Amino acid sequence: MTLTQCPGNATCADERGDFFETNIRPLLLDRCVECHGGTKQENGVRLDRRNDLLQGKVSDTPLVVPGNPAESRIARVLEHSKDDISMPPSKKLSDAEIAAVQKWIADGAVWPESSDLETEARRRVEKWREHWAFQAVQSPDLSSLHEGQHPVDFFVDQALVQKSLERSEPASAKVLVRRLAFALTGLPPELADLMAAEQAEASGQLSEWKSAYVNRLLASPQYGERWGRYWLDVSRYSDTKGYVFMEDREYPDAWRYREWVVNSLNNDMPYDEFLKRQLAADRMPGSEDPAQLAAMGYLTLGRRFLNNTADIIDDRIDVVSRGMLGLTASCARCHDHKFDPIPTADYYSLYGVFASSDEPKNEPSTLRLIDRPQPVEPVIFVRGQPHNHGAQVPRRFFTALSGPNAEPFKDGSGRLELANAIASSANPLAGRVAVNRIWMHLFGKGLVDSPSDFGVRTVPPTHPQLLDYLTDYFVKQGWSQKALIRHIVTSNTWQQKSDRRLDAEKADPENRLYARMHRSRLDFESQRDAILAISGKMDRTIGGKSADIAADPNILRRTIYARIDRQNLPGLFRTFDLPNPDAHAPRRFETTVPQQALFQLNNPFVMNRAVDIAEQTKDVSATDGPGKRIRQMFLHVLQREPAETELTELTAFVEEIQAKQDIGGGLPGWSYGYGTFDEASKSLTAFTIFPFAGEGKWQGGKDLPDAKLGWATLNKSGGHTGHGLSFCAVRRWTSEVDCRVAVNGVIGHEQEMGDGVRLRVVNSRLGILQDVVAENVTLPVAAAPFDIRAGESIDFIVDCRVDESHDSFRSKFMITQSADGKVLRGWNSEDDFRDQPGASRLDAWAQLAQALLLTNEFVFVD
Amino acid sequence: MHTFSETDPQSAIAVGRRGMLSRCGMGFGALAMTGFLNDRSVKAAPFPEAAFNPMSPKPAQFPSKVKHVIHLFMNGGPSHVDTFDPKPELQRRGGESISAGNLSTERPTGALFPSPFRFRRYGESGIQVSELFHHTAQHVDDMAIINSMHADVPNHEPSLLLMNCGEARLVRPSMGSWLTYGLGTENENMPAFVAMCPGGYPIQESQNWQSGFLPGVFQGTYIDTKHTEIEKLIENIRNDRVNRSEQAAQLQLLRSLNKRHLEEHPGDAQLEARIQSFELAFRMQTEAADAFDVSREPRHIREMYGDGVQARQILIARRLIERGVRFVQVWHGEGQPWDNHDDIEVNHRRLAKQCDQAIGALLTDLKQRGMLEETLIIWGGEFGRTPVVELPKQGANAGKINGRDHNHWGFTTWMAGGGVKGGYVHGATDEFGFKAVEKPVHVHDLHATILKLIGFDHEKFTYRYAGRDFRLTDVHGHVVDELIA
Repeated sequence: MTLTQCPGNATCADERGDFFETNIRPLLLDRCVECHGGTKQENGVRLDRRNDLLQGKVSDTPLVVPGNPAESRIARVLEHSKDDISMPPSKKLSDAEIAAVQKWIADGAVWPESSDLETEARRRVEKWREHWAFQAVQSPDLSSLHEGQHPVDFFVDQALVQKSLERSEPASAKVLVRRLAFALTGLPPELADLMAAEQAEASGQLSEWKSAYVNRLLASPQYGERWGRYWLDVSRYSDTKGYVFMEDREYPDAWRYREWVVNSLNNDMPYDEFLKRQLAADRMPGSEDPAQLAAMGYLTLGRRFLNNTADIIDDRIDVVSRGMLGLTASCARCHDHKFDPIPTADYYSLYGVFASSDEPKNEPSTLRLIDRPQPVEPVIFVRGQPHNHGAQVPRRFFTALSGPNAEPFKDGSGRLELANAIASSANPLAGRVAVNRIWMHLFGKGLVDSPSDFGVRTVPPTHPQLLDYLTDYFVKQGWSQKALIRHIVTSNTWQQKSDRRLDAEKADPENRLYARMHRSRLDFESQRDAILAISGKMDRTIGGKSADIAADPNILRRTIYARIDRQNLPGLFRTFDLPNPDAHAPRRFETTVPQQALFQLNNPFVMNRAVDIAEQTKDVSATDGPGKRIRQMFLHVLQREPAETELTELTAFVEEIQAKQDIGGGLPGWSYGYGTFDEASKSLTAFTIFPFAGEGKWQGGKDLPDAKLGWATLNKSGGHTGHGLSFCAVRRWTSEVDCRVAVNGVIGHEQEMGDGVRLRVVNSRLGILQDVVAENVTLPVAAAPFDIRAGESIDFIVDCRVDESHDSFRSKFMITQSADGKVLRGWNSEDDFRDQPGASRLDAWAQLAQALLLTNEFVFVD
Repeated sequence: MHTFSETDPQSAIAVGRRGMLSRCGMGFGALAMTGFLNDRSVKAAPFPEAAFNPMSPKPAQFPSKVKHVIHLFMNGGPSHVDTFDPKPELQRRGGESISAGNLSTERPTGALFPSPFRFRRYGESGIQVSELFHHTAQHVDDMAIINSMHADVPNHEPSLLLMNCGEARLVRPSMGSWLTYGLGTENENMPAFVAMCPGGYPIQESQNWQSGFLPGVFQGTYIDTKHTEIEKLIENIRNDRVNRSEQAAQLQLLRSLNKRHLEEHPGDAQLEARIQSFELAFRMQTEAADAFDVSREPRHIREMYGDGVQARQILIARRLIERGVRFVQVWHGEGQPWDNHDDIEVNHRRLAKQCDQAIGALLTDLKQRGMLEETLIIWGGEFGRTPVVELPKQGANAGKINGRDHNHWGFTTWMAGGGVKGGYVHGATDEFGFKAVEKPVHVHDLHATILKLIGFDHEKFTYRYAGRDFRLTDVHGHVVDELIA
C-alpha cells in the first residue's frame, strides 16, 4: 500500500494528518469505498468523504466517536466478532490495519480537510496512464548506431556497458546451425548443413551462408509447425470440450484451427490480420472459405463448463485479453480490477460482444461464430452473479485503451470492431505483447517477465527501448513475424556463445542483460520431433487431423499434431510440462522429474525409434567391424565425431550388452500365426501371421471367435486351436544364424471334455521332429540337438484333431543353442512372448542408440 | 522473496546458486535438500530450485507434525443420518411430512425416512456411530466428527469440484496439488500425489485431482486399483525389452557421456538436475512396484484389512504414505457408488461392508506404527443425503421409495490423526438431520482447517496467476479451531 505525496495542503504538516494519509486513506480506498463510496452507499454509509464519515450514523450510532474507538461503530465492525456485523464482509482487515484505525480514532480521527477520497481515487486511477505499457510505441533514436551495428546489439550493449559488461564471443558455426534449426523449425539440422556451415566458416563465407540458411529455415513448412505450437499454448488448444456430462466431448474440427494457424504462419500472414481473423473471420474477406473461418477456433475451442454461458464467455474474454493484449481482464468479472484500469463495466462491455455472437447450429464447421440478428445489450452482473443485474453498459473496447468516452460498437455484435481495435498500431499492447513473446521463444525469457500480463503491478521491461524499437520495426515490416524473427536471430546478441561467464554472473546473475546466450532444454515437442527426425521415420505431412501420440507409440507425425484431451490430459503431456489446455498459458513451466526419464527409458516410442536408428546403420558392421558402426551412429544422433575415449566406452558398452544377451535370454525370433498342415507332405503349406495382436494375445481379431479364424489364438503360455487342419495355431521360431539347437518343453490339454489337441514340431528342412497328442494331460516335448541354418524355422503346430471344442492348450518351449557342449543362447516361448508386432528385445545397437538419445547433449541446445 | 509463479518459471536459475553449486561441489540433490529456509514467513514456502525439481521437500509455513494426508472419498454422497449423525427425532417421527423443513434438493422428496441402521456408543467419548461403520467406530476417540458440514448445491459435479478444488465450476488446483506444491515430496521415487479409484474415474474424472494453473507435475497420478499389475498402475514403469542389468549398463554409459558434457559446460544446474532424474527413475522402477504390491505385507496385516479391492487400496494407501507420498486420495469406485437414491438399506450396507473393516484397520495400523499423528485422515463425500425419502421420478428409482436424495444443506465429514481433536463431535444438523444449524462448517472452512493442520495459513498460501493471488479457499474460509487438538 503506498501513498506517494500529500495533495499539497498545509494540514499535512500535522503528524496526525500524515497518519491519516499514509494509513487510513489507502485503507478506506482499498477496502471500503467499493460498497461505501461514490457509486454505492450500502446501508446508507459513505466513507469516501470527510463529513459523511465523521458525522455519519447507522441507527443512531455514530460511525466515529473521535478519541473513543470503543464507541465508534466503524472500529467495532472491523473486529468480526459475534456481537456485531463483520466488515469488510469478504475478509477481515489485518491486525495491524485494525490497530491503525483504532489509533486514528483514539488520536481524534483527524481527516485533513483538503480533499475527498473521490479525488484521490481518481488520481490513483489516473496513475495507470503513466504506466509504460499503455504509452504509445516510441520509435527510438538510432542516430548513435555505429556503422554495421545491429540495433538489437546497440540496445543490449547500452545496458551491458552500465554494468561494465560485454557480450560473449560469437558461437561457432556448428553451435549456431543447431541453434537456428531448433529455434526456427523445432528440428535438428541436417548433417549436410552442419558441414556446409563449417566449410563456409573456413572460407570466410559464414555470414552469407548464415543469412541464406535463416531464409531457408523460415521458408520451410516446419517453421509453421514449430511456431504454430507456441500459438496453440496462447489459444489453449484442445480437441475436446472438457466435462460436459453425457454430451459428445469431441471438437471434431479442432484440427482445422491448428491447420489454419500453421498455414498462416507459413504464409507469414501479417500479425494484425492474424489476430483479426481469429476474432472475426466471418466478417472479413474470404469469409466464404471454411479454411479461413476455422481461425475463430481461437474463441470457440475453449472448455465448455457444462455449457454455462457466463463461464464460456469468461473464457473467451480471458483468451482475448491475456492472449492478445497482455491484460488480466478476468479479475473484473466480479469487481473493478484492483490494480489495472479495467473496471467491471469494461468486462461486461466485452461480455456483450461475445453474448451477441452465436455458434451456428446444424453446421458441419463448429468453429465459427456469427452475429446474432439482435445484439445483446449487456448489463453488469454484480459480483459476477448472472442473476444480479447492475447498470447497463455499451458494447465497446476497453476504456483504458480507447478512452473513457469511446464510441459504442455499432456493427452487429461489435466483434469486428473489437478485432480492429485490438489489432491496430494505435493499440500499443498488441504489438508489444507479440514482440515480447517472440523474444521469449528465442531467448528463453521475455524482455517483460510476465508475457501475458503487462499490467501496472508487473515488473517493467528490462530493455524498454529495445522492446519499443522491435515493436516499431515489427509494425513497419507489415506485422511480419518472419521479418522480426529474422531480424533478431541475425543479431550478434542472439548469435553469441552460451557458455557461463563468472564475471558476468556477478553483476547479472540471471543473465537478464544478455552477456551470453542462454542454454535451452528442448521442450517436449522438440525432444520427440528430434527423435523422430533422427530415426529417419518422421512423417512430414503438414496439417491434418490429430493423432493420439500418447496412446500409440508408432505414430510418426510431428508432436504439434498430438490429440489434446483437456478433460483427461495424458500423463505424458503433464510430465513434460505441456500447459494445461483449460486456459490461456502465458508460458511453460520447466520441470525436471523422474517420470520424464521413465518415458525416455521405457516408453515404446523411444525404443522403437532407437531400433530404427540401429537399423539405419546396420549395413556398416558386417564389413567394417563395430568401431565404424558406432562412429556412424554417434555422428548420426549427436551430429559430431566421437572422441577416442567415447569410442572406447561405446565399444565396451556394445560388447557388454552383446555378451549379456548371448548368455541370457536370447533374441526374439518368434512369430505367431496360423497355417495349414498337409498330411501328405508332412509339412506346413501356409503360414500367416495373426492379424490382431494385443491384450496379451495374437488372434484373428479383437474379439473371439473371429469370423474367419474362429477360436484360433496364441498367448504367452498356450492358446487355442482353430477349425480343422487349415487353421492350426502355429508358433514359429526362426533362426538368425547357423547353429546347433535342441528343443524342450511341454504341451498340455487340461480338460476332460473334447478330444484333446495334437502338437507337431516341424523343421522346414528335416520335417516332423515330434508328434504328440495331449488329451486331458500334460506331456513333455523334446527334440535331440540338430543343425539349423540361418532363416530356417521350427514350427510348433497345434491342431484340434477332430473335435474343435474344448481345445485350449498350455505350452512352453525352450530352444537352446550350443557349441562344443557349451550353452550359448536360449530362447523361451514364455519369457520371449510379446503381444506387439515388432516389439522385441532391443539388441546392443538399439540400446546404444537409445542411450545416445537420452544424453544431455541431445536435449540441450547451446 | 520469490514465490513460484507463472510469470517466471525459470527465475530459479539464479546464478548465485549455481555458483554455490560449483563452489561446494554439491550435487543438485544436496542443494535441494538444504531447502531455502530464509524468509518464508508469508505466502507459500518459496522454492527457487523449483524450476529444476518442484518436488523437492519444503517445510510448511509453520511447524506441523502432519506429513501425509489420506482422503477417503465416499463419492456419490454417503448418508450422514445412517452413518455418523444419529437423529432420534427422525426415528420417532418417521413417515411424517415436514413441509416447512423440507428443503429443496435435486429431486422431489417426501416424508421423514428413519434410518434402518442401529446406532450405538463407542469409545470413552461415547460417540454414537451406526452399525455400518462398526470397525471404524472403534477409533472414535481419535476422530473429530463434523456433523455440520454444508456445501452450495445438491449436484455431484459442482460439489465434487468444491470439495476437491474449493471452486464449483472454474478450473482450480485440487487440494492435493496445493499440498504437493507447498510441501514437495519426501520420496522422489514415488509420485507425490496419488488418486486411486478402482474401475475407472469418478464423476468429473481427473478434474478432481487437477493441478489447474499450477504446474502439471502437481496433478494427482491416477491409479486404477482394479488392476494389480504394476505396469497398468504407473506409466512407463516397466520395460520388457531392455532388462534391468542392460538398463543399468545403459545408465552407466549415459552417466559417463553426461559427465563429460557437464565438464564442458560446467556448473549448469539444469544439466545436473536431468542427470539426477535418471538415477531417480531407475530406483523408482523397483520402489514403486514394491509400494503397490500388497502381497509383501505379512499375512496378519492383510487379514486385518480384509478382502476385496477397498481393502487392497486402503492398504496400498498406507504403504504409499509410509514411503513418503504426500497426499493419497482413495475413491470408493467408478462413477458415484454412494449415490443411493433407492434401496439405501441394501446399498449402504454393501458399500460400508466393502470399506469399514479396512478403514478401521488403517487407523489401527497407523497407530501401531506411530504414524497416526503424522497422517491426517479425512473421510466423507461431496455431500450427504436427505432425511426424507426420495419420491420416484420418471426414469429413476424404478418406482422404489426407499432411498435418499442429495443433501448439501448438512452432512458429515470426519477427520482423524494429524493433530485433530479426538473423541469430538463438532456442530449439528437440525433435529432431522437436514440442515447444518449449529456451528456450520462450509467446505471452505474445512479446507482452511485442513491447511492449518498441515501448517499453512490458508489466506497466505497463495499462487500468483493471471494477475492475482489465488488460494485454495478463494476469498472464503475460516479455520475451525475447535477441531484442532
